[in-house]
Amino acid sequence: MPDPSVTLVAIRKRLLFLFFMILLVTLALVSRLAWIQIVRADELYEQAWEQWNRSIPARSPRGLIYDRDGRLLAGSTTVETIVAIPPQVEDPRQTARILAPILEKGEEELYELLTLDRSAIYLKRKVEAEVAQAVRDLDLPGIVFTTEGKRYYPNGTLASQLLGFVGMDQGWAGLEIYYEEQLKGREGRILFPSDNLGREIPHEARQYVLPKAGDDLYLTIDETIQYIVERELARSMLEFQPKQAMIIAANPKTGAILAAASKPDYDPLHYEEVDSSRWALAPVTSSFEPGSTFKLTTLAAAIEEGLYNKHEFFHCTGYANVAGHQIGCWTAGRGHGSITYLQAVESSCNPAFINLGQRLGTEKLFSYIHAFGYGQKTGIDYPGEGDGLIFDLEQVGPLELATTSFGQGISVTPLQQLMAVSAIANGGYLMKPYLVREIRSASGELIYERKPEVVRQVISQETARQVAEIMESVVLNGSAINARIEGYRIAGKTGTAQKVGPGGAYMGGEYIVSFIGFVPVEDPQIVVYIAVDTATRGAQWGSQICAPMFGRMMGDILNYLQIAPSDQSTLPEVKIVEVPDLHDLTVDEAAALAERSGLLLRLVGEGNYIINQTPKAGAKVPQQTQVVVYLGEDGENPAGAISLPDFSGFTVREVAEVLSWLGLRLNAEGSGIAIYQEPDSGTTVEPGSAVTVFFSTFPEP
Amino acid sequence: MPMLDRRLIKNFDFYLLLLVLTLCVVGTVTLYSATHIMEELADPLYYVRRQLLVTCCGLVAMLIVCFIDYINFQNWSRYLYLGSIALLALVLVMGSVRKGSMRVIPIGFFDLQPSEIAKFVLIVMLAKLLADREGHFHSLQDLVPSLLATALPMGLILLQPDLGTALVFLAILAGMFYVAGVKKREMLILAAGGLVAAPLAWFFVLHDYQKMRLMVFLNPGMDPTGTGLQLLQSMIGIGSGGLFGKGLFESTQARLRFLPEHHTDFIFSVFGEEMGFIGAVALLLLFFLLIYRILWIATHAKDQFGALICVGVAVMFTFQILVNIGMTISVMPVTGIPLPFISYGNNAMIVNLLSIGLVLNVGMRRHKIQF
Repeated sequence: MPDPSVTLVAIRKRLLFLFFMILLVTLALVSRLAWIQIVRADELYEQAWEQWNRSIPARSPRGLIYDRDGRLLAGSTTVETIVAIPPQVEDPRQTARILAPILEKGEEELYELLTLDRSAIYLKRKVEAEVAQAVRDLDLPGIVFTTEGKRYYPNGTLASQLLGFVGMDQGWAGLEIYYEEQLKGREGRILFPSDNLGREIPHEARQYVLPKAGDDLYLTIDETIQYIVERELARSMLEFQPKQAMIIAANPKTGAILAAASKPDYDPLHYEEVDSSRWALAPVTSSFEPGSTFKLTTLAAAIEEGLYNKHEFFHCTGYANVAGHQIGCWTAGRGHGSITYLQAVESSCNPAFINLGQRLGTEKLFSYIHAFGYGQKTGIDYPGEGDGLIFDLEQVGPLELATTSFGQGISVTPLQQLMAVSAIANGGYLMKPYLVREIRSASGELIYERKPEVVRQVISQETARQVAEIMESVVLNGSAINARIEGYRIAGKTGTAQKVGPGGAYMGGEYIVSFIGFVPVEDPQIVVYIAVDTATRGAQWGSQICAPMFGRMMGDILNYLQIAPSDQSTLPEVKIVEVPDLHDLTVDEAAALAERSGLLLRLVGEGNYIINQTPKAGAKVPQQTQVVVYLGEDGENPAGAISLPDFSGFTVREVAEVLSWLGLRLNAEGSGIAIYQEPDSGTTVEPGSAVTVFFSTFPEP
Repeated sequence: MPMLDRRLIKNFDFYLLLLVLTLCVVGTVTLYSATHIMEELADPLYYVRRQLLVTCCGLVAMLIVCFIDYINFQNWSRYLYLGSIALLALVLVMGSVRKGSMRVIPIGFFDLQPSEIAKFVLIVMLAKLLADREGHFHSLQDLVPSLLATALPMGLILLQPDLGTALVFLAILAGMFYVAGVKKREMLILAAGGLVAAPLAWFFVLHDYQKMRLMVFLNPGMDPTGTGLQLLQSMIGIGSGGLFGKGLFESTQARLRFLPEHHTDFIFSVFGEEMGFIGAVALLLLFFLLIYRILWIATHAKDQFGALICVGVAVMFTFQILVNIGMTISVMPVTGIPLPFISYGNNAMIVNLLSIGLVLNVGMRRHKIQF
C-alpha cells in the first residue's frame, strides 16, 4: 500500500499546475474583456446607440435670403410631414383605409408603406396644415409628425435664376445650392428609444434634438434695381421677341452685383414645369462671342501702351487685308473713309481696331485680355459659372490677332465683360464679383462679411479715365447714342455678334446684340451689361435694341439711387433731327438710316419693305425718337382683308396710329404698353372692324 | 461532541463562505437588473423571489451537507449515481420540453433538472472511483470504470439533447483524471480518441441547431439574426459598457430586449454593460478567489477522495465560467451553460451550493481527527 501522503504530495503538485491553468484562463478572459470594453468600447457603444434609438429627422428651417437692404427675397416656413413608424402601427389595413382619402394617396400604397420593415417612413411630406390637423385628430398609433422647412418667394419669379430653387431636401440651383451648407442649418431629430422590434418603449422620454436654423444670406442684389432690370427684360422680350435677353449690373468699385437676370425665366415654386435651360443665370453661365463691346479691351491696352492717339487719322476702306483675307467693317463695303482714331472708336470701325491690335502684337494684346479676366472664371459665388474661350497664344496667327482685336472668334461671359468694364470705370482695378455680402445666423449674429476684392490692377488710372471719356463720346456722338439719359454723363459701347452654331460656323441671321456702359462717368456708380439674343423683330443691332433699353432702365435706376444729374453745362443739347423717308426701303436699309439720324425703328406687320411710317418723313424730332414703320410686300397696299399684326410691346398711341393706317378701330383697355390683343395677331379681319388691345403699365415679370 | 464541533468550526472556511455569499448577492442584484423590466412579468420580482428562495434553500442544504462527514458520500456514491441515472432516464421519458430539448421534470412549481444534479453526483462518483485506485493507473483498463461512469450520464444528457452540460462532464473527467494521477500517455490517447469521435458526433449526435451554433461561433457574420445576433448583441452590450459601465440597472441592451436569454445564459452581458470593465474584472476576481479557495482546500484535504471532490467542483466552476463568459465575449461557442451563482436557474443554484457545501465539508475535516 503506497503512502497516502506521497500521493497527496503528487496531487498537490498537479493542483498547483491546475491552479496556474485556471489563472491563465482568467487572465485570458480579462484581456479579452479589456479588448472589448476598452479598445473597442467606443465603436460598440456607437453600434448600441444606433440600435436603441430610432429617430425621425426634424428638418431645420432654411436660412433666409435678403437683398442688400434687408428686403426678403426668399422666405422659409415650417410645414408638417407625416411619418409612420411601421412597428407601432397596430392595424395597417385599417390605418391605410382611414388615411388614404385624407392624404390623397392610394390605400394599397399606404398599406405597403405601413408594413415596411423600416423604423420610420415618410407617408406624405410637407402637407397643408389642415391635412396635418386632420391626421393628428385621428390619433392613430404609429403615425407621428415632424417638421420640415418650405421655401416661399415673396416676389414670385423675381431673381429666380439668381436665387435658384429648393427641391424636397436641398437647394438644387443658384445660390440655394451654392450656399447649401450655410442655408440648410443642422437637422434636428426626434429620438425615441425603441426595442428590438422597433416598438417605442413606453414611459421613455422622447428626446427632441432641436434643429438649428440655417444662416441667412444678405445679397449684394438690390431688389428695386433687380425689379427694374427684370421689367426691362420682360418688355424687351415682348418688343423684340428674342430667344433670350439678359442684364447684369454691378457696382464697378466693389464688384458687388446689383442685379442679374435673364429671360425667359421660371417660377421657383414650379421649376419642374420649364426646360432646365431657363434655370441658369445666363449673364454668369453663358458665354458667346462679344463683338464690339470687346473693342474696349483692345482700346485700353493700346492707350496703356501709348499706341493710341485720338487725333491720328485712320483710313477705313470698308475692310482690312490680313494674311490674304479681307475682313470687312460693319458698314458693309462703304467704309468709314478718313477718320480720326476717336471717330473710329465712336463708329466702332473694325479695321481701325485691327490696326490697334497689330500695333500691340499678339503677346501684349493677349496679356491684357488675360489681365482683364477673360478666359477664366471670375470666381463669383454662383454655381456653373462659364469661362469662355480665348485663343491659346500658339494658336494665334495674324488672322486670329485681327479678329480678336474687335471681338470676334472668341467667347466670353457677360460677367467677364462687366468686370473688365468695371476696371475701366473704377480706375483700372479688376474686381472679383460677388453676390453675397453678409451671412448672419438666424439670431442676427454676423458670421461672414465679404469685403471687395481686387484681383489686380490692369491699367493705370489715367488710361481708365481716357477709355471712359472715349466711351462717353461713343454715347454722345457714336453708336450708343440711343443710350443717352438727359442730365447724366454716360459711358457706353454697343456690340453685335453673329452667333456661332454648334459646328463652329456663323449662323446666318442670328445675332446677339449687346450694350455695356456705366454711369455717371465722373464717379461711376453702376455698370450694366445688356444682351439680346436673336431678336426676331426690328434690326438686330445693339444700338437699336440694347442702347435704348439701357437708357430707359437707367433713368429709373438713377432716380432710385438718387444720383444727381451732372452739371447741365457739360451736356450737349439734344439734337433735333429730320425723320428720313423710309418708304419702300428694306428693314436693314431703314435701320441704317435711322441709326445715322439717332432715331429708333419700330416694326409692325410682316414683310420685307416699309410701306408706311410715323412720324412722317421730314418731321423734326429729337434724337432717340421712335419711328414706327409698317411692313408689307413691295407695292402692296393695305386694302381688303387685313392680317392683324402683333402689337405686344407697343404704346397706345402707336397701336392707334397703325390701326388707323389699316382702317381699323381701336378699343383700348388700360394704359401703358400692349400685352394682349383680341383678335390675335395673324387673324384676318375686314376693314372697319374693331380690335381690342389690352395695355399694362409694364409687362408682368 | 462540543470539542469536535469547535474543531470543525475552527476549520470551517468562512473565507469561502463569504465569497459564495458575495457571489449570491451580486447574482441576485444582477438578476433583478436583468428581469425587473420584463414587461411580460406580472410581478417584476418573479425571478428574483424564486432565485432568492432557492438560494436560501441551497444555503441551508449547504450547511446541512457540511455536518455530514463527506466520507459517507464514498459509500452513498453508487446510490446517488444510480438515482441520478434514473432521473436522467426519466427526463427522457416524461420530461418537459424547454427550448427544443427535454431537460426538466416538472414537479409542481419546480422544474427538476436532473442534468444539474448529475454533475454533482458525477464528481462524487469519480472522486470515489479514482481515490480507490490511489494513484495507480497503469493502463487504459484502469480507467474504464471512470470512463463508463462518465459516459452513461453524458450519453443520456446528449439524448435530451444538451451538449453544453455534457461537455461539463468531460471537463470534470479530464480535470479529475489529471489530478488523480492519470499518466500523460493515457490522457493523450483519450484526447485522441475524443478527436476521432468528434466528427462522428458531428454527423450522428449533434443536432442541426448545435451544428449551427458551432458554425456561427466560427463565423458570427453568417447568421446575424439568430445565434449570431445573440453573440453580436452580447458584444455590443458588454462593449458599450466601457471601462466604468453604465451603472446598476442601466443595461439598455436588456431593457430594449436586444439581448435574448439575458437573465440566464447571457446575464454576464448585462453585468458587463452595467458595471463596465472594472466590474467585470472584479467579478472574475471573485470567481478566481472562489476557485483558488477550493483548490486550497483540495491541497489541504486529508485524503484523495476529499481532494478530488474539490478538484471536480473547481473544474466544474472554471469550465462553466470560462465557457459562459467566453460565449458572451465571443471566444466560446453558444452552448447554454449558465454562469455559476449569477445566472437564473434553480437547479444550478442548489447544486452549486451543495457542491460548495461538500468542499466546505472537506475543508472542515482536513485534519485527521485525533481521538
